Amino acid sequence: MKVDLINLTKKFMGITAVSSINLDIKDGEFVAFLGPSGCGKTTTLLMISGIYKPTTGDILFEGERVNHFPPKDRDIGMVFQSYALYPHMTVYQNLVFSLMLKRRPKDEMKAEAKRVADIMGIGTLLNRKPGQLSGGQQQRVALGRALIKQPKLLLFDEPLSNLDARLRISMRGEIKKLQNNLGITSIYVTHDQIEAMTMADRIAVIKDGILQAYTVPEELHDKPKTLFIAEFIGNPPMNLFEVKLLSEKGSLYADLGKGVKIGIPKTRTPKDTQKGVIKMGIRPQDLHAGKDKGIKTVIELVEPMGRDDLIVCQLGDKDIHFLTDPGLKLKTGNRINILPDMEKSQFFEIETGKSLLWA
Amino acid sequence: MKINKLFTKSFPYILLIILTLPIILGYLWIVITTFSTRIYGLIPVDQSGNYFRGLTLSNWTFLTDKTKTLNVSIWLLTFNTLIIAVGLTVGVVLISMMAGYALSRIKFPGRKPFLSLTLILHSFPSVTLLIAIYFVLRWIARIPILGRGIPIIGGFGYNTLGGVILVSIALQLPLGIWLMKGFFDNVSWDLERAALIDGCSRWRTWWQIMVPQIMPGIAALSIFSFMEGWKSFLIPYSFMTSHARATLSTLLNEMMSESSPTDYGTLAAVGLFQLLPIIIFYLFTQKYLLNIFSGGVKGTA
Repeated sequence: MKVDLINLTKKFMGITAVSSINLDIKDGEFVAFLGPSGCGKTTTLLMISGIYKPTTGDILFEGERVNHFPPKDRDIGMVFQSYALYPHMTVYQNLVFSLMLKRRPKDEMKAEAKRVADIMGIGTLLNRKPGQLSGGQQQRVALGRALIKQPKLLLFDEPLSNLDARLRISMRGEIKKLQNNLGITSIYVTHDQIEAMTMADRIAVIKDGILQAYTVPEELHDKPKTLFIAEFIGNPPMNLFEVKLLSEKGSLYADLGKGVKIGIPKTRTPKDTQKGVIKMGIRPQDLHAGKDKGIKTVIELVEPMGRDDLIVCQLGDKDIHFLTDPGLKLKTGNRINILPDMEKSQFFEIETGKSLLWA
Repeated sequence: MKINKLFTKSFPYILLIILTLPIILGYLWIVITTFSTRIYGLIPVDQSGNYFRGLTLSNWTFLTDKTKTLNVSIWLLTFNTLIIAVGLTVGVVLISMMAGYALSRIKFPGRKPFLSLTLILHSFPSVTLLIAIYFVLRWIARIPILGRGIPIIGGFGYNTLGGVILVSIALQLPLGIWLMKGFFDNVSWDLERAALIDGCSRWRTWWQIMVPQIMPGIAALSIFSFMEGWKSFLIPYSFMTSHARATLSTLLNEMMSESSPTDYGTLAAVGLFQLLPIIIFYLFTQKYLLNIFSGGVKGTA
């Protein structure tokens, strides 16, 4: 189902929680709403579900304005962070509750419950109460309950936050696969950028109720339009520090202090080179330890992360993090040379946080 | 060292036994008195003063005969008391369940003031309201049918069981509403949202999803209200004057304030008779009563 949000705004007692959000979701698309807690992403989701009424603006399903449709008339299924299974009902009753309300015949309820239970692998749990299930099982039941209605739109409200790390990764893949197979348009709210990056076709980054960007994960990662996106997306987070722009003999340099200057390639020339001090960003994977070329520095800390070692050292007077191959066996106190891949560097205006490359 | 340990372990028990001794002795006295002609301390004696003699069932004749004091059957009084207790329980629980939900979940103008007002009302001594309520009930009594024309409870006016129930409900409601609101507050919003998305109406959500989550609270409030109704004295005493509408509590009071010498044996027996249902009830339901203080919903992760 095609979903459009037009100037969607929600105010609670004069305080704006969601501010004039515009976005479109294509039929069958998997969209993530990403942002820190309290940014308005769940509020937006609850407006789409019909629990909250928008203060102003419109929600369109297939081009039809649904602002005042009650939740039950919207053809949606929703999965909650707390699972929100009905504790006094068995798994089977939980699954067929929505069918029961529609007064469907018993045989149909049984058949539908079996179909969903097979998809979710919860066939053996049908007679248990939610309290007797593990978190992962409860989440499967919750997903099954959302699916049994054959909804046109699936809403996820941080569904994996209460699971342990390993289960989260496997459920992540499962939900993604399921969505792919069923082709149900889905909106997935999360504060975990890895979840959003790995699962979504497109990501809407929301901060303080304002839509920061709405695009594909790769672009969010490689071409962040604002400082906020650059900080939020990517793990380990991007190195960000203030540099002075210097222009010498037609070439542009970033001055990192203590006499360390790095050349900025033509492709990455910031829009407004007259700005004196700007923010520069470079991801930890875009700095490399060079043999004899590069900027000399001393390792201050090595954090082994398994596949990589995270190295902390100083570049000019800035602290900087970068990833190296553990095979290099670098130790604290070692002298190394750093080669930043400036073709991957980012520049932002300090006052507004806007990118000087993409905005 | 062993003795020292024994002492520290047994000390709390000894202290508690000493503190509860007066109450236990009181109960013992009641039980023994009901089966004795006379009693010296806790020892039954017969007319001529022989110890451990004079055991009798004559104090329990009120169960079959009409009570001497009010000249009505004890079973009618028990029935009256039961009607008040049940009526109070049903009324309080139903209204509190709905009001508590509304106050917990729905935003409406005047919600905050209403909440604080009910709290003030709860701490208001009901004695001060007696005269005003008297006039209100007299006025209700003049309404046709509603006043005095309803079977079993009589109506809602003065000198009817319904009137007493009405007033008792009003006085018990603040506690009930606050209790129910507290229990509803503990139920997650997501549960309600899930129900709405599954296709429930607001009423159905309340009845089929929310109410089952607060069953322990409802059980506790029911027990509380029932006991309150069963032992209530001031309101039945003030607003039901005819003997046929007396309750067990008012009977006890009449027996004590008689001009002729009080028959302590029968008084104790009636007291024990009134106490029995409460004790039995409590034994079976104390688990739920304790829930009032711990609260909350279990079962959701």
